Amino acid sequence: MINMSQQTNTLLLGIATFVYVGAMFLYLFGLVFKKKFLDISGFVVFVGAFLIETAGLIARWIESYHLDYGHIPITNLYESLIFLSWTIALTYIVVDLKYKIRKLGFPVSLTAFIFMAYASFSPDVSSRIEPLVPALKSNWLVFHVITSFFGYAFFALAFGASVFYLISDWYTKHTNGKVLSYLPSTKVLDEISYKLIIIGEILLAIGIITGAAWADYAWGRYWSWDPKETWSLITFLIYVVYLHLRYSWGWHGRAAAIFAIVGFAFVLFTYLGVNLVLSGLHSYGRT
Amino acid sequence: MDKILDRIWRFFSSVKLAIVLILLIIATAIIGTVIQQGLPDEAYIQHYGTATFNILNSIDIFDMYHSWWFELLLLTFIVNVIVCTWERLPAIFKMFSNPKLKLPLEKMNAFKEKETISYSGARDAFIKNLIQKLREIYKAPIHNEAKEGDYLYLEKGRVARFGPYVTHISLIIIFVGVLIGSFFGFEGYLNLVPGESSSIVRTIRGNKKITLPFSIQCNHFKVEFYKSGIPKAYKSDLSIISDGNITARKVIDVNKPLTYKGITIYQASYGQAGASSFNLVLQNGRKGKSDVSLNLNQQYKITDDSSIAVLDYTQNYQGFGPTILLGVYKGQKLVNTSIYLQKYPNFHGAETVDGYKIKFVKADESFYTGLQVAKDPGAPYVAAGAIILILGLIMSFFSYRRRIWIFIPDDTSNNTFTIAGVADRNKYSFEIEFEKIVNEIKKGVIK
Repeated sequence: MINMSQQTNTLLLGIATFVYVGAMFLYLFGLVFKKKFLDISGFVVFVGAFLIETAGLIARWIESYHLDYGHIPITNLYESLIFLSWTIALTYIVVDLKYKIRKLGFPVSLTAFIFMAYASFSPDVSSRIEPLVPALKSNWLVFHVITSFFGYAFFALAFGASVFYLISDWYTKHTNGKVLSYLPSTKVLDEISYKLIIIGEILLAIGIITGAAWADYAWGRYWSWDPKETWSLITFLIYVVYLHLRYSWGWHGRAAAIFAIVGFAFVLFTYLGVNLVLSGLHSYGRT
Repeated sequence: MDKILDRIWRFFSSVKLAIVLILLIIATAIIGTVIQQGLPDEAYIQHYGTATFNILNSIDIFDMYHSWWFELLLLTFIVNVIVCTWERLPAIFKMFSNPKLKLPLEKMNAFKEKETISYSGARDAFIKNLIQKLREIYKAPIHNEAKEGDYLYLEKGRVARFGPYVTHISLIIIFVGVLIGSFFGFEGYLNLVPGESSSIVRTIRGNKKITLPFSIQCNHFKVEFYKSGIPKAYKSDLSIISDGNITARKVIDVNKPLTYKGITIYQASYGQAGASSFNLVLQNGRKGKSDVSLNLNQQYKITDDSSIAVLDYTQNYQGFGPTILLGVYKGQKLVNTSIYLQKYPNFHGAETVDGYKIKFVKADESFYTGLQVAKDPGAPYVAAGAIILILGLIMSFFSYRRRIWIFIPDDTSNNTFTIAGVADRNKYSFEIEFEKIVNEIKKGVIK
């Protein structure tokens, strides 16, 4: 009984992984053949994948209660990879509805697929539902992880918009001023990228602050220069520099796009690098 | 002298300096994440060799976040923020108390967003309609009449201009909180076994003794485990004793601390305090089987003149698991010792001690509770600063200031007016907004 329902969540998440691949190909064909119905079907399939993934996460949450652990599925590497792809997918859907930037669906579905495939198929990532160590049992966990991850998601989309900016900009430069018709104009991409970074920055700030508040409740110390929190701060500061360059020195366009792309490398390192490369240095407990 | 001060002031008021400092903070902060901080010296010497260790240690690389140079960097940054805020805030207030209501036409024409539109009908009626329309679709304009014509001024998103200053001031508040914490607060730890009490904690940094104005007593400590052996919960039942009386009592848990007179006691960790009692089975062919529970070194008579005692215990003896050292006494004299393994009860075969076959069943282990004891009077300031920081970011980013000027010249031969606008940022969003306003005016007022 327990095993069967545990299969339900991994099965649903596995299906979602492949539906994201389907959406990715539709978006890719949309880019190649420039047919609008391909983009629309890509979006429909993408939303389908997102809903299946949502169901998978809910199934996993329920399953953790059957196992008597009872916790939100955002607490180990497997769950965090799935949850990150989910936040990126949701952010894309909302951003597309607001800013009409459907073509981002290709890199977004590719990213969602990569994270989910890494979670599902990497031998280093266990899909088992694990109990929570006492330090993680806190309501701050939910606020902290959700805000941080949506922060990452907005930075990821800003990264995508910035890459599109460079593509569009490069095309215009090499075709004597022709405009790449299937992407939004460069000034739209520039502003979208900047707005996404702002939201990402605010969410990251809330993520860092809720983490600090949590540490204060757990250990009486809101800041301890742990590698994870140090890297979150570094990422926050990188985008602080971006915003100041933009406001005070008028950086925009190509320079801002390149900066946003480099900034995303810091996001990735904060999310994965700290745990994988600096492994062993980051621990939740303290002796 | 004034010239030097002026130079210093200008140095600290530049955004360039802020960017350089932030980049320096980023670069140096990375060092501390790559080189593990706060290990014992021996670990570094083994890894780097003595010579390199001495060099790196002289600049506090192994505790770099508390080194003088890193703290100086942070301090310089805060001074930079304070000076920048001080320098620019009055100008912002002035700009708001005295906005440019009448913008000359040539300045309006210099903006990217501008349009000159002709209208028909009477000028006064047109202005009235225009003001009415703007009030409906955007905002009530400030109307100024002059000899050369009528000026309208509209401004939105003023709050966004204050956002950055709110954010910067929040950093200063956080900094004040950190300073208060480092001067008037402490962080210490205290390990207690159940039944024990103490009023002395040791600081985490520097290992200094601090005497609390009360003592902490651990009444009970409990660890629960999941089936897999991972700890599920650990809780301490604590009493606060001041002047000989119990003044507070609470069961604390990880994430659920106890605060008493500004000092907070956190459940931070636990550890093994050794075994408290040992369960043995003694089997004698004639007298049958008996279960015995012994404390360490407690002698237990098995015959009139001989007794046994558990002399030592280890959780894992050379990979064989929990093991005790059992001593046999004749009178008060220790005559023999041998080990008993919990996992291998038949290790001694048929061997007996005065006719008793002895099995070591298990040890009841006792844990100590690891408490973190901290006082941070600066924390509320840091928390307030953090909330203000978020408010400042939201103020800065969820709005943007934009200004629109309209000039209707007093010239009956030429019925035109000029509208121009500028946004501090979000130029593209403003372009759309501006276009919409112009279209609404054309549709609703010009017809």
